[in-house]
Amino acid sequence: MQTPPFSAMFDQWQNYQKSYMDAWQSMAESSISGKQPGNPWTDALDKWWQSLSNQTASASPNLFSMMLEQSKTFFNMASLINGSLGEAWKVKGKGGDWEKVISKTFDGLRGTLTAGCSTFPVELWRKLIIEKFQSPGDLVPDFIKKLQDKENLILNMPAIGMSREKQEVVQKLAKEVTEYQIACGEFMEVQTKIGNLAVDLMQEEICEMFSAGEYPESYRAIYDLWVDCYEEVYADAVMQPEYNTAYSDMVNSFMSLTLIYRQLQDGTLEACGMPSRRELDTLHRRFQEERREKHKMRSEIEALKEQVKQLEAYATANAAAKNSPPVESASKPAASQRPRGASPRRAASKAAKPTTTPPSTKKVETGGDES
Amino acid sequence: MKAINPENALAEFQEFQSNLAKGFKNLSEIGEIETGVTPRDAVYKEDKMVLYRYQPGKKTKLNPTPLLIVYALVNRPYMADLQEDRSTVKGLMDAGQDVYLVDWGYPDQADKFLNLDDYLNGYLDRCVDFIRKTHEVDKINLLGICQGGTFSLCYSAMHPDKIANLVTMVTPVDFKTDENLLSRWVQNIDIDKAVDAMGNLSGDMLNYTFLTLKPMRLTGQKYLDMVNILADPKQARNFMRMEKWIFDSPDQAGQAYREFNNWFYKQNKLIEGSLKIGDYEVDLKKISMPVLNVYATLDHLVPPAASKALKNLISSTDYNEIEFPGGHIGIYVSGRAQKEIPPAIGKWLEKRR
Repeated sequence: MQTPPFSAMFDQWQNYQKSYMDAWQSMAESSISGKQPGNPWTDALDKWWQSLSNQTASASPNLFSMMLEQSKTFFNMASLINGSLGEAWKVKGKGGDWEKVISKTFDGLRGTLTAGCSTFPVELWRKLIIEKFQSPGDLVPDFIKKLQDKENLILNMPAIGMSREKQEVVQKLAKEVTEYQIACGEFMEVQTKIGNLAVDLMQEEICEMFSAGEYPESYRAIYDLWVDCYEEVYADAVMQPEYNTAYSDMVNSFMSLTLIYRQLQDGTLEACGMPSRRELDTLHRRFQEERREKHKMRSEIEALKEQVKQLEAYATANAAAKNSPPVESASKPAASQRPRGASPRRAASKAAKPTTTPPSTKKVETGGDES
Repeated sequence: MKAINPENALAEFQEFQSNLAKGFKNLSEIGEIETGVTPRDAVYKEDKMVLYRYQPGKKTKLNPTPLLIVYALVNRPYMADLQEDRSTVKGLMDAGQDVYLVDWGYPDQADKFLNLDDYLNGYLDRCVDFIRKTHEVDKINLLGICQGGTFSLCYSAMHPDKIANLVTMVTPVDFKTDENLLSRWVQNIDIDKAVDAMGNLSGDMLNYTFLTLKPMRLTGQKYLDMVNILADPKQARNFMRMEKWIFDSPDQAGQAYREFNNWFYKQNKLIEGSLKIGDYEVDLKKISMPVLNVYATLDHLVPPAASKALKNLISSTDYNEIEFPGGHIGIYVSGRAQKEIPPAIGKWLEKRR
């Protein structure tokens, strides 16, 4: 499909904007009255994007979707906060207890705001695991869930019989899944704490602004204030041992889980007569060791070749000196008569130095198997 | 001051959407994002590693001692040559340097047993020898960037006879300074288990770590800022170029990753003096050549203190520092950095011809 002309896309957007103006008015009014309707901004963004993405094959659909997602978050959050703050501002204008209203406002917003922060790093982690590793970290097999449901009774039973090893691996996998789930939960708790502290800080900042007779000048200013508050609290929290422990527990338990999962996969592959990760590792390790040996030998050979070259030059010079009529009564050429660098000792040391090949940068030299 | 009224909010929303719509158009037309702009030739290859020489053109006053840039294993080296007006490489060439660069490539699972000895006493040493041989010189100049700076320090300590002058940029030396967040995080991570489980460490996993240093700013606010610049095709292109670089993260060869994290981040062996790579003891006191240490005051990945520790650990009597008021990336791409850093490095090297 062809991309519609930009002017058409823009007109389309303008139309959406007009149709949502009324919705905005009603939202603004109802937010003052305390009702919570849907957010027309994000609805508008959604509808616009759906119509565009149906018509176009965008060059950067992922990036644009991401921007759109952030835009929705931004307008959602800013309009939510602004709607509530507007009420406090109104109370302040009438000389009422605006701090109480702000406090109530943030109590109401706390759940929404912290939900976003607490799930964010875990959600990002989850996406990474699913997209990159196709790992059981998220896809807990049903049989593991059943084992977990038995309150670890089965997991703690000793394995027996011919398939003892496999039973042990499965038991270990189930335990690791549980450990990982617990670690993710604890990491999420730490994130929630950070979110709560960020909300507290934002409340303080807003109160300070109100006291000074100021109000955030735009939606973007509200959003930026929230980001600043979050990052300030986060920067402090991540330096603390509590965060460090929760983070490392999550990563380490995921790695333990992956290790045991790989072990299971290898067992299955070997049973099917297919090469396993374990086999490939053995081959790669040996291969790398042999390559090191090869490079070491190559450099030793180069050094020896250079040494031989120097010795030959010395021998030639020596022979020439013997055959030529004696100028002085000397049985061997004096050091000053030797070719430069032709002493055996110097030849050996020079072997490690570069030779004097003319500079060449157009021809690509290669030194490895994949070149 | 008034509360935000509906009209103002709508105006803000309209402007935002207008930029978003223009951004959509610009993004649709942006095409391929090119990086690495200065002409260069691949002069030596080994496995996935490539040594490049930037074409010096018709410059007659080139420094006879070539300069080799050693980049980190993390991310790609075109950060040093991102675009025409943001290129440390170009700046160094303009300052009379004959510039080479090591590109480590993208390791895959077959490379998982590459260790630091393979990288430093193998690949890097053979690159250095190639350049020495090509230029008929005993010593070359070395410039290390970030982790590449740490590598350059190790290399210079192991092979001091091959290095004339050493430049380190945003280079971690002391891996356990107070404000080093990455270091704090890694202390409790079981690196051995991670490498055993993963083989190579995924570049995406490293990106996750970097993003969570400032999560809301780097995954949210940044993209809203982007909406505001997308209306300008040139700025959109620059943004996309940087975005490409940030997420162009090679996987890390498992064994090298294991050693780097355990030896440097966890055990701080570089400054403890107990580091051994392959057959070589890494003794920083063997660094007696002139050293220029460039660091950024706002660097959140390599805090200034982590770099400045170098001063008291080497034996060089010709040690200099350049403090740049910027961040870890800004030192390569900001307008001010372009004007100040490469010329200063060039000048420093020229004085030590």
